[in-house]
Amino acid sequence: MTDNDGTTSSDGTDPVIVADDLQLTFHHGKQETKALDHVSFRVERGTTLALVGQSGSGKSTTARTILGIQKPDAGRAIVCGSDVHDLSQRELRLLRQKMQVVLQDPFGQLNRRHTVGRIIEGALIAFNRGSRRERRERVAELIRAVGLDESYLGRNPRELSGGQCQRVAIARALALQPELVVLDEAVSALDVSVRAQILNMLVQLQKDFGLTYLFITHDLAVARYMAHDIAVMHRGRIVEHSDRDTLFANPKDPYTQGLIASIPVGLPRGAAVRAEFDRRLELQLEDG
Amino acid sequence: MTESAVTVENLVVTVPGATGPVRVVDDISFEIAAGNVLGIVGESGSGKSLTALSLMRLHRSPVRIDNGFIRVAGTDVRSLAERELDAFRGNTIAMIYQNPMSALNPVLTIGNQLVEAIRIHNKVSRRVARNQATDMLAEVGIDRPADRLDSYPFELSGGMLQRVVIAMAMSCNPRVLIADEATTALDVTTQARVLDLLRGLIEQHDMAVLFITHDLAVASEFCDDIQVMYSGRIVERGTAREVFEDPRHPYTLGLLGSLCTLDMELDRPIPTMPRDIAELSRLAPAIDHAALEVQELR
Ligand SMILES: Nc1ncnc2c1ncn2[C@@H]1O[C@H](COP(=O)(O)OP(=O)(O)OP(=O)(O)O)[C@@H](O)[C@H]1O
Ligand SMILES: Nc1ncnc2c1ncn2[C@@H]1O[C@H](COP(=O)(O)OP(=O)(O)O)[C@@H](O)[C@H]1O
Ligand SMILES: [Mg+2]
Ligand SMILES: [Mg+2]
Repeated sequence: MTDNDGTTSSDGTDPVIVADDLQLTFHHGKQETKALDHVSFRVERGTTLALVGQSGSGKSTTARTILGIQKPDAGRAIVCGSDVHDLSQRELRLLRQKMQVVLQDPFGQLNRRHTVGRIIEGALIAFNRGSRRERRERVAELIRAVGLDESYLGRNPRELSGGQCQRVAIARALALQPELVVLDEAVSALDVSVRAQILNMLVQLQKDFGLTYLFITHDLAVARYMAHDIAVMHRGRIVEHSDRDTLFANPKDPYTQGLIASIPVGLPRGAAVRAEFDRRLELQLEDG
Repeated sequence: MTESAVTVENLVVTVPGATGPVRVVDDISFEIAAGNVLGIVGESGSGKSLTALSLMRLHRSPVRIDNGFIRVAGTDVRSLAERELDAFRGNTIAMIYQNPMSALNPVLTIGNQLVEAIRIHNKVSRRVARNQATDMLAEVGIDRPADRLDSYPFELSGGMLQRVVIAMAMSCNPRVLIADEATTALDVTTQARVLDLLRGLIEQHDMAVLFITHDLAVASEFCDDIQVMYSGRIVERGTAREVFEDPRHPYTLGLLGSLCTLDMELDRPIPTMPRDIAELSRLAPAIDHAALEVQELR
């Protein structure tokens, strides 16, 4: 099932994703939308590529194409060495163990007929991972890792807040210890503190297990923190793709420049507030 | 003083728990004047959405309002009969949800849904309603609005769907608008346009708005007043300036401290809440900046 073209590591690289000239046009009546316009990029193992850009620019379509959900008109999407659009259903299913996804919509992506515990355990059952007890332990570990506790395992997604659903989806995606996780606006529905906790966890997992992330976000500060490389999409095209320092220090494309310029300012700077926080915390602890 | 468009007093919302009802919204009170935007920020799971749903009486069993008084545009919401609720929701108050798909029918085109929404409130022909729908889509910043009327929801990106939903909510000219993470999925430029649009609509229609968001930058720019929720309670309240420039409650400080900013240091963990935040919050009283000023004047 391997298709090694374009993924040979003769140059010493080990790409987990190779998007090779992806093209896709949607037709709305007589009108056409070029959702993917010659999209090419690679994501090396153990690194994060952030995909940023205006809504409608094609970020989610790119993600769906990489995941094998959306077939492109032309071009190839190679994940872990396999062309995802050239696999049998069975092969694709096997690849899905290595490639997980967390979507933008917190409510829609969880099966409402199952409990949270069953949702997280589902993938482990499907791929026969571990004994029943080991699975339960893993599920408990995962739910705590996303900042919830075991009391949530018996609940139904309907009984959760948006951010809690989002965290369950993240726990589920990590259950199988995948090699690649595609996160499409996966943390925007979380308060900034829970978000920080999850981002820290994702970074730690990357350090420990060499996970690869395709990280879609519209928050450039989050993209900068998470990603090694950043690709900017505009109307189905990647208009700029560079490492994060270069992108912020020296954005070349006018669209990227505009995007950086439009970041809202006026909030207290994180660092200043943190210093203040430590000071007040000390005062409070002294008071009792 | 004119009556507030929204008045909430001692609201308690409960869900059943192992050892009796759990107060997921725990005795909160607030007001919103017409033409004003009240932002709610805070912990995921702290009761923001359940507070919003209370204003429309949209909870489904076993979630219930256990106590409190709610008045929206002169209507005592808790005393409304079931049969009065639809008209109340359709004409007085509208909500833009966290999940745009939940407000749209997946098997009908955008145009059909907008035309229906318009015709419920205005007796106009389909043709006129269709023209209005086109204008509304253009107003919320959708390209080629006339063509998009024939699109199905699944054909639009998340950001576009959010804008369609905003257009639908506005079609009934509500007095009170609730936006629950309505701009969460939008990129900064689109978001700015949508917020400008909302700002214009708020002024034009003198609407009161309850605006729930996790985006502190948006909250600070868009909201007149901010209240911070933690664990079912309002822990801090003030003007956007007061709360963000002079945060007093440990939870608010922790929240602002965990913010990702463009100048933050890389290659080290983002600071998060102190582990004992629950304990710290219990010790710290809820903070109302208006009350602080009174104290300071004395
Ligand atoms: N139908 C329900 N049954 C039981 N518990 C519920 C139900 N709906 C919500 N809850 C609980 O009530 C609490 C408040 O939920 P709410 O949806 O208001 O949170 P929120 O502040 O909007 O959070 P988020 O920012 O994550 O959307 C949460 O702990 C949630 O798990
Ligand atoms: N299934 C589909 N059918 C038709 N058009 C689609 C479909 N999915 C996406 N599109 C269109 O493709 C473009 C890119 O969408 P998307 O990838 O969702 O954007 P983003 O995730 O960057 O917001 C948009 O113009 C959208 O309307
Ligand atoms: Mg998207
Ligand atoms: Mg919510």
